[in-house]
Amino acid sequence: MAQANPTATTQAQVERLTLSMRLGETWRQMKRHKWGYLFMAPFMTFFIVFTVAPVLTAMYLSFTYFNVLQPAEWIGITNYRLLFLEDDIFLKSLHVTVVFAIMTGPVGFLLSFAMAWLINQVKVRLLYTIAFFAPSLSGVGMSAIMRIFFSNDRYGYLNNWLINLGILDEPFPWLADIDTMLGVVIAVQLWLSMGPGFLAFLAGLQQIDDQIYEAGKVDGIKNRMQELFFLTLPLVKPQLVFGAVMAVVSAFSMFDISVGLVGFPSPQYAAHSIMAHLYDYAFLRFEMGYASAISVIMFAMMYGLSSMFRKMLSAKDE
Amino acid sequence: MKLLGIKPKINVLVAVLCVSALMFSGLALAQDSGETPQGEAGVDFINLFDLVSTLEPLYHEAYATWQEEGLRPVDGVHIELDGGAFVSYDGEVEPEVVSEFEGRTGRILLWEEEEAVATWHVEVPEDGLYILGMEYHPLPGKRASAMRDIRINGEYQFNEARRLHFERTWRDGGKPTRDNQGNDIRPTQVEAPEWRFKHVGDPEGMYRDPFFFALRKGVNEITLHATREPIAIRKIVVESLELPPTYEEVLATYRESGYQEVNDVQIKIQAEDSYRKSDPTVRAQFGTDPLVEPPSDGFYRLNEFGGWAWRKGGQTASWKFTVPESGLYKIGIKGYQSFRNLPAVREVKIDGEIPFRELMEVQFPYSRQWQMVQLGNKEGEPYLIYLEEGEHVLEMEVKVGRNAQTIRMLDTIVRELSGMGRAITYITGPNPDPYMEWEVHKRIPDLLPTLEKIRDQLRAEADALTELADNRVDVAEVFRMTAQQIQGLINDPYQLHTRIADFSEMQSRLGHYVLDLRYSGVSLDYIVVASPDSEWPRVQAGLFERLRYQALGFLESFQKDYTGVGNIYEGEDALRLWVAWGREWALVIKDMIEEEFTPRTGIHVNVNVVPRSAVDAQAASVILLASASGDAPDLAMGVDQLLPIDFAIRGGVVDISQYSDFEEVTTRFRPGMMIPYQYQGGYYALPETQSFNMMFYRTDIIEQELGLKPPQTWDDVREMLPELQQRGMDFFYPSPAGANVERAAISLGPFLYQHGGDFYTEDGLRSALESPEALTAFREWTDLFANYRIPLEANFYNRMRTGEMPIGIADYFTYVLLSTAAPELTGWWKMVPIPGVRQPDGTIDRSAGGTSTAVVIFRDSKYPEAAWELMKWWTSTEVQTRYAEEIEALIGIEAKWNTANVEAFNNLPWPKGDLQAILDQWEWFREKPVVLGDYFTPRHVVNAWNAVVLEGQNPREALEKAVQDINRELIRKQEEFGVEIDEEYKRQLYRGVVRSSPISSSDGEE
Repeated sequence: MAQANPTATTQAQVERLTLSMRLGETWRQMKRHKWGYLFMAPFMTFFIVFTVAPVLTAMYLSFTYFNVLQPAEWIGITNYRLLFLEDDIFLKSLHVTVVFAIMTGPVGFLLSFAMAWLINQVKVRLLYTIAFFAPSLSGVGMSAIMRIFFSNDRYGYLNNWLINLGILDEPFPWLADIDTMLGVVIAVQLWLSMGPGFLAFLAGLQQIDDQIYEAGKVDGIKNRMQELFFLTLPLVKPQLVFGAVMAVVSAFSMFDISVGLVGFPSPQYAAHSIMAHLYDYAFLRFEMGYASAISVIMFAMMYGLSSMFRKMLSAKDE
Repeated sequence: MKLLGIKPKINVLVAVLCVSALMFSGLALAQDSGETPQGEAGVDFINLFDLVSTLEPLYHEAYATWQEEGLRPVDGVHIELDGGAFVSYDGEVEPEVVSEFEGRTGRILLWEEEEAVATWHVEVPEDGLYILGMEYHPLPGKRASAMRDIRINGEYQFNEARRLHFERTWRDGGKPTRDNQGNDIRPTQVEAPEWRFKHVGDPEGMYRDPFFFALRKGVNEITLHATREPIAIRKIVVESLELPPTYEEVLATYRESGYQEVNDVQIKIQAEDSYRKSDPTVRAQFGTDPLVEPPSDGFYRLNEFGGWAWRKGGQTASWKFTVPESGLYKIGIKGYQSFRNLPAVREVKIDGEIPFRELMEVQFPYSRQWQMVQLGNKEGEPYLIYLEEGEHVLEMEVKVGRNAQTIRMLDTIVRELSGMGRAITYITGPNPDPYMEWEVHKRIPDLLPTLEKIRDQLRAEADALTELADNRVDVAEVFRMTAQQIQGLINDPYQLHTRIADFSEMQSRLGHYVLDLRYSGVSLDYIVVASPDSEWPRVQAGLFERLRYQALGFLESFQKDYTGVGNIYEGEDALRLWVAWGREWALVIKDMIEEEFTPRTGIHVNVNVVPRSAVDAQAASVILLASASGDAPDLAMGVDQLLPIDFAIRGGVVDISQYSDFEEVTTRFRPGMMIPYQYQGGYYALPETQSFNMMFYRTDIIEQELGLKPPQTWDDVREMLPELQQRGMDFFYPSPAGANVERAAISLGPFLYQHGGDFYTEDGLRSALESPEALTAFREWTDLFANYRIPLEANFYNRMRTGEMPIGIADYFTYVLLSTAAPELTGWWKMVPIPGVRQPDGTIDRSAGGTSTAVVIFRDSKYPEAAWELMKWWTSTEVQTRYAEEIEALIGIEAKWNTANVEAFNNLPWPKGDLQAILDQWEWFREKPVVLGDYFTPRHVVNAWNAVVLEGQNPREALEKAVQDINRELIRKQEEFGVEIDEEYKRQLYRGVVRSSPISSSDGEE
């Protein structure tokens, strides 16, 4: 051991040397590509300050007790333990979110693609495009109008129609009944969120060169269906990936619409999404640490799902 | 293939609809057996007009009747009655009659007492129509205009006679001053009481001429009833109507007297420098047009007058000017009227007289630009007006003008529609079987002819308006659309019973215009009195001028502090105050601080306006983030009731009970009002405003039509419900089925308290909702919705107006709505305390909760003592009284300040009867304490309500589940904040074993 000492020192020295050499090399490399770094800097600064830093902070906070007004206190994994083992409402919200995500994610995704594809066939595209995109422009404010539409009152549009048609004979509380609440939120969300994905698809579809379709015809494509599956879909893959990620992300962060429609928290937690659960802990109960733990879980789920989507869609041709 | 894209979407919607429709049909079937709509038995033919209304006729209807009876306006009569010459007076104290008052002599009646009645006798020479006038002087009161109603021979001759206004006179308290940011500060509004003579006319300016009253030959009784505010009356005049001469006639007399046009004179009167006005809300405004004088140059400048605030019939404003020589002048008014695409109308008087008939209705046409409105004929020739050398006063009064005709038509239509809707429901019941052949149009013979008449009227009026305005008019489009809808009803009379809702819908749509068309705002910049040969100044800014102005404004916006109000002290020791009321509110607060507080204490205050959401307790509010980053203000006003304790448990706000004079300060409020701000022996806020529910009802429907009395207890309510529902009417009680969960506690509160229950045990550690009292309360509450089936959601104010919900319980903001926005109901509704529960000793317990806003001091304050000084000053009686008066004077009754200071509240200008009702209810005001984990109570109360009312669960089980959830959260929070807890109880709670009444067990433990 005594003999090994000098060697060890040398080894350490060597390591230090190589490290400093490597650092020096990196530095030289960076200097060489300084223009690249310079152009990257604005985005990286914002990305780090507004995305990376908050995510890391949230991860740290998820191991603490933090009530916003007093300093955070380290409590280990208690938050996660409570979240998975004792929080019934979290499981309920997970359920709501998954139902919601399945209905608005994939279904919304397919719908907006189908719509884009259909509209791409017609002549007066602009009109349809505006009509489909308008709801998502109006955003959350729209939920006020939707509240009138689905109002629990006799004079809500839906109730009024159904009563006039003789289907109902007294107003049905669409927004208060726990069996219809989530359905209404999903319907409104579908209608609102189709815009961006739809627009991306439409842009993608319009980029496709007509020559490709002509070439396809020459190569023996018989009908529109084949055209869709063999030519269109592979060609708009980047937009598909974007659309899928957008759909999942927006499904998971669903919150505003349900608050606007059914209030917060929704009666009997019937439309209580993970996001709502997070908000509940963060701003009603001021338990930021716990809320951070929820957000970390949410982050992980969203990240996992969207990378899964990306893999699924890109696996096809490679 | 195209279907491919559409299908999924439809499928989703269809699925959602089908599922719910199926579920519902199950529900509907289940209750069909229980509830049979009032059947056909007993009702044969219904005379529509029996049901139309029990209100008195409106003036124009009464007038039409007089015409039929052959009553004509009389000529050459002028009779004066002394104010003090009344023959009888019915009040609590004998009124004072003086021989001299404020410079005039006579037998003057000083009428101080509200609700008193005085009668005069007048002898007239013949049967006929007379007008009444009154010479009066307002007496010090609560700053509102005086109201008297008039009965002739014991009768209200028409509905409007119930609300006759005698305005006070106001003026600006001085020239506007400037704050240190260079912005104008509005002068205060001061009363300038003076003797006025007023002909009794429509309070809303609906008629050009004063009201006629029908008097018999011989002695008639004129009875005045004081509904609001004291006045002194010198003379009551009964006379014949003399209209001013026409311009032609006046011009002829000018020519005869040899009056000449003056030359080379132009006098400009800035409209913002008004002389007198009838209403303090009619005042100078901030304008930004480049040509408005004086220019705003990027600051807030008071350079215009009137605007939307000057829109209500009867509001007058006057200006003083001096002409250098006697002669004939022309007058032009620079105005802006883009509020409505129909002309606005003003009556012009000079020195208290209307010079000639044409000036009774001067029109300000719609335009998106400023325009010079010349007093002249349609051909563009100015009217010549003779003015003596010296001082003159020009007065303008808001008149409704041509719109009045439309309004009267609509008013009748609305009443007819309401009558038809009610007549149909009378036959079919509220939920008619759609497949039955009701044939309502045969049972109500007038139905179809009336609908046809309405359709034609609407179409004709739409055409007339379009022609008048010379462009598209929104009102006309609405009329056409409604006519179309009526056509649809006429086309298919056998389906009328399925379209009852159409009637109320049309009614509320048209009813909106009955109100809206009365209003006509005009902004004024200046008035020009000039020689007829002179040119009018240019009033429309060019494109470049406007562009330059807007560019300047845009640049300015980068450095301007928009949230700051008034003087801003930088780099000095000043308190930072956040005000969560609107900017106008903050301005008054700031002015009062600068005027009273700072000079007295030497403490400077910077005021910032923040939106309501910034001081929300339960949200990612600005105040939370500011506190977290150490940037909170010293104190905030108008904060959410829940915020103080939420912050207090985390050490975010200052405990104000540490100050020696705290005890004394709390005596300003009712004892219960401090409850929500108390936590573990400390107090963390003072209440600022408070609000609670009252019961409102239509006297014409409830008392006269149905012969019922307003319910005193919930038993009375339940007894009355079938009576109402049989006639398609309903009772309104705010349900928790809305977006606001917090309302749940207020909704359950009355039942709970009145049965002797409470939300928490005395120590605030456990829910007390498991007590037998709470269960009874919960049952009664959910029963209203589940078994009595009162609506889960409704716009009470609208349905009160239509008569569908003639009675209900609502926030007393409804009071403001009904008194400002439902003039047709004046005198026909009442506000009374809410129903209660009869106690064993025979008294009725009417306890109920409410909400309040608070003032708090934040932890980071560097000057908590100074902040406390400000807080004390702000909640004091004098300041609250003055503030309430000023803000109401400034903005109108819409801004009624429901102060939490009891004494100040008593000083507010409420009519006597209403004030008493509120004070009676206030006696029963009970606050819910805010405890650790409090937010779970309303949440789970809603859940339980939802489970019972919508899913038909057993109330006991639903409530037990709620209590368990609430208790778990309470104990969780208690643990978090270091309250010592009973481990055994906690274990049981989580195993779900705690079932016995916690009230008794917790009593045992203590």
